[in-house]
Amino acid sequence: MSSSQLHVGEVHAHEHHELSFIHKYIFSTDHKIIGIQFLFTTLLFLVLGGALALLVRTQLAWPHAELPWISSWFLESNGGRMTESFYNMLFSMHASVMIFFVIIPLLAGAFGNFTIPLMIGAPDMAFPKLNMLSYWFMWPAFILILVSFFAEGGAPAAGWTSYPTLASSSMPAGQGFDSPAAPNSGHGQIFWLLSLLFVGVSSMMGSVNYITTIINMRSPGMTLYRMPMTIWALFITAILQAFALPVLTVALILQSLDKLLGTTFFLPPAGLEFANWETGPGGGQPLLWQHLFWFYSHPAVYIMILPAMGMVSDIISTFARRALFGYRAMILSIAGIAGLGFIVWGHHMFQSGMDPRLGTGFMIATIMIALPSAIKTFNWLATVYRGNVQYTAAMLFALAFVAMFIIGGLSGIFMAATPVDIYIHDTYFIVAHLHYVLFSSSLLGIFAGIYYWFPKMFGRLMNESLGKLHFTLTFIFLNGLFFPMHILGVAGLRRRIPDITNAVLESPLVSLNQFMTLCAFALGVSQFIFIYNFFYSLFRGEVSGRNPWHSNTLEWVAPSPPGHGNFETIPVVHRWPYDYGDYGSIDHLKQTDPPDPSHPSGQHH
Amino acid sequence: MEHAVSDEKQAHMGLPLPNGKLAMWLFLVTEIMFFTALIGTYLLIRMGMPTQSQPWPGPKDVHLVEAIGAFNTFVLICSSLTVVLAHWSLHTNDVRKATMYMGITLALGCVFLVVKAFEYKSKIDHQILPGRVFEKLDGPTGYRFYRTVEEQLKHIVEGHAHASEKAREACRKLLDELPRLSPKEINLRIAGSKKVKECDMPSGASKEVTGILEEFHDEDLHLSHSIPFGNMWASCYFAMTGFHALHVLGGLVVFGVILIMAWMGKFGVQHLNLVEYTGLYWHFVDIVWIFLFPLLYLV
Repeated sequence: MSSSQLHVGEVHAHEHHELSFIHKYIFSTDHKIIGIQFLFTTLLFLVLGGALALLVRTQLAWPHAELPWISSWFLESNGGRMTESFYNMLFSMHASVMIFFVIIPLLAGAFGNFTIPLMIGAPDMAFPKLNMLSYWFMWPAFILILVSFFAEGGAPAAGWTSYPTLASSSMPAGQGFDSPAAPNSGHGQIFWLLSLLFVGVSSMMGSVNYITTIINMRSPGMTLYRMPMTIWALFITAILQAFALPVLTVALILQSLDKLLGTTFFLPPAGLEFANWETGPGGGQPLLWQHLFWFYSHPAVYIMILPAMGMVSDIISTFARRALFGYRAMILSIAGIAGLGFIVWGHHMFQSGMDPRLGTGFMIATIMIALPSAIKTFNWLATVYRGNVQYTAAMLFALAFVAMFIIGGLSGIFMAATPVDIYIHDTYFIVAHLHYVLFSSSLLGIFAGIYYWFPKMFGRLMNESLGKLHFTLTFIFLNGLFFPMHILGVAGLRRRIPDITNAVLESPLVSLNQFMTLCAFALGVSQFIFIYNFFYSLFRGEVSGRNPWHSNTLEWVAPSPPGHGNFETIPVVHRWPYDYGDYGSIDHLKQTDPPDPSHPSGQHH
Repeated sequence: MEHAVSDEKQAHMGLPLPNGKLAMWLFLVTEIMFFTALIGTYLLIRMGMPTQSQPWPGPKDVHLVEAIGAFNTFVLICSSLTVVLAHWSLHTNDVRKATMYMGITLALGCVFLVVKAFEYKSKIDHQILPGRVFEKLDGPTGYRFYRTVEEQLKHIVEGHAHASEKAREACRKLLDELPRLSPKEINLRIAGSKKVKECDMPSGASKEVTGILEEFHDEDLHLSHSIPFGNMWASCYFAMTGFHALHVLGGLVVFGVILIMAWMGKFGVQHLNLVEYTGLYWHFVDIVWIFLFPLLYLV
């Protein structure tokens, strides 16, 4: 069985072929280029998602204020003021963009593509053309989601969860595509559904490719228990995606059929009347959508954090110059989180009229997730403890990831308990929780990954001082933005409310909201430091050499940036990736370092 | 331990499977989840909503013929056999025989789709389509039902449809009485008391009414009648069999490509893996139908 070796030979034979610009950078089958393509496009969408978030924050702090610059674009009908349905559209699209077009494709698409073959010592993915397709299948999704903003009736406004009946009222013949139920759930909603279908197909192709590559393309000596945590996390994430995504695909298709062909899977039985129209004669189950949707979207929240956990584990171990504490426990806890992640989707539906006995089961399973999460947190802390910590920008972001994940994880346990959830479910407490997990954890993990792998991607180091400035400002302002949300939630501020000055109990909270909005703008402005640093370093950064961080994993053996085919010779792996610290006179032992009897390795993995 | 590994430098680290086969199995895993979700949706809707008085439609209510489904099941099982035979023939270096078996598999797949197309046509003829079936005859639906039946009866009475003289006479009689009948009574006159479910029975109606449809067994006599859960049934039926048919079509495209390759003389032993992976996929398509057939036609 030497198919992978044969493949290496083939790639090397082609290596000196000069590829045209289009083949090299646009329709590339090289996993590194595809990873970088994912990185650039998703960072662009991060800007869009961030802009939408700032508009949401503006409305919350200064409801219906006349907005400079943008009022003149799309708000004329309401006298230059934001309408309530426009606000609904803003938060729906903010969440959809951030989840499906930023976090998931950044972690799985950008980092998955870039790191997997490099870190397992493979010349490329198992199926490079399929890999290219998985990127280009994102483009119809990009276009459809952008087109939805300009669709008749506007972009979808039923929340990123698109619950029927708000989102899925069918549009019977003769009434056009505009559902009378919700003004923004017509054309825009259809574009949203189709867009996500393409994202799903892309992710499905990606995950099949990742699993095959990780199982079958490892270089000699790279046993499963010598793989870096990044690869383990991406492996388990890909399995999650492969199992859960088809269910979302079905849900999206069925909702599309409801909207386009008059089926009634997610509409209640006859008799529900809207302004000028009643539901058709048939009738299905609105709750069914929530089950199908969360069967995917709960595992998806782990898809959105597990790869970051893996990356952070590697970064912390590298910069603490200490072996990762509890390597196997870390792997098992990722697997445990993923496994439990499949049986807890019901905790999103405690408020949807669930039988308390069923809710108890979901509650217990959900609270059990705290266990593997705590194992991970303590292991990270134990890794840093007594380490010879190097506070690089990447390390700062990774440490912040751990800190913020503790806050986000603890507030998650509040939500998991059904009785508590009934009080806080539709409040800002839940918004605080998900932003601590998604922004403060996942996105900080992504920043850590970018600072860490930037030299491998482009052969140049990012500026450390600017990186630390970026970190400090981001860290301060994100806590200024998200921490008060806990307080707002406990005070009873409902989420998804466009004008908080309307309710007596909520109106005293406006000043705190104004503070948060100012933090949000400062947070947004701080990101320009990152953008400047990114592009400046891309062209002018200090040349990094192969292994600027003195790291052990295989990608640092390859040149920076690695050529087509990655490695000059097939790397042979002799040890696990965490031999840092004091090995006699040697600071660290690379995975390729041959065993040397005079330097007995601390851990024989 | 480390020495052992460095000694066997050229060891393949993965499973003893080619990448393609592994990926095909993973793809089939995602496909299993896809159909699990579809079938799960069907089971949930079917088990969760119907009641004694408003039951889920049986095959007779929605013009579904078990024998046709059984025939199609048989056709697909045969095609699974022939695709294995094609692989085996290629394995034994007999390219001509492999091509022949591929051709038979393609033909059997086509037979399946043609039969399916006729089944769909019958559903369309009887208007058993999502959103088109009448159920719950009170309220505005009852009024629409009345208008539709009036239209259909006029059509038959005026002789536009192929109906026997006697059937036409019965229709004329019903048309005359129509203004005096409630939608539920009209439904009873058309379908007969054996077919009408409890929820659609007009209060105080006689228990034994022979419906026009029962009396004349005329396939061209297209008269609407109420089918409780008919819309949901049609939605599930078309979604499940439709996606299955699309998968069949996908397999046929691959078989077609292989046959074109054979016709151009480019098909040979080197395609053993391709045939094997296609065969795996085809078995999966077969197995899905083996689940769909009893769920939709028999249970």
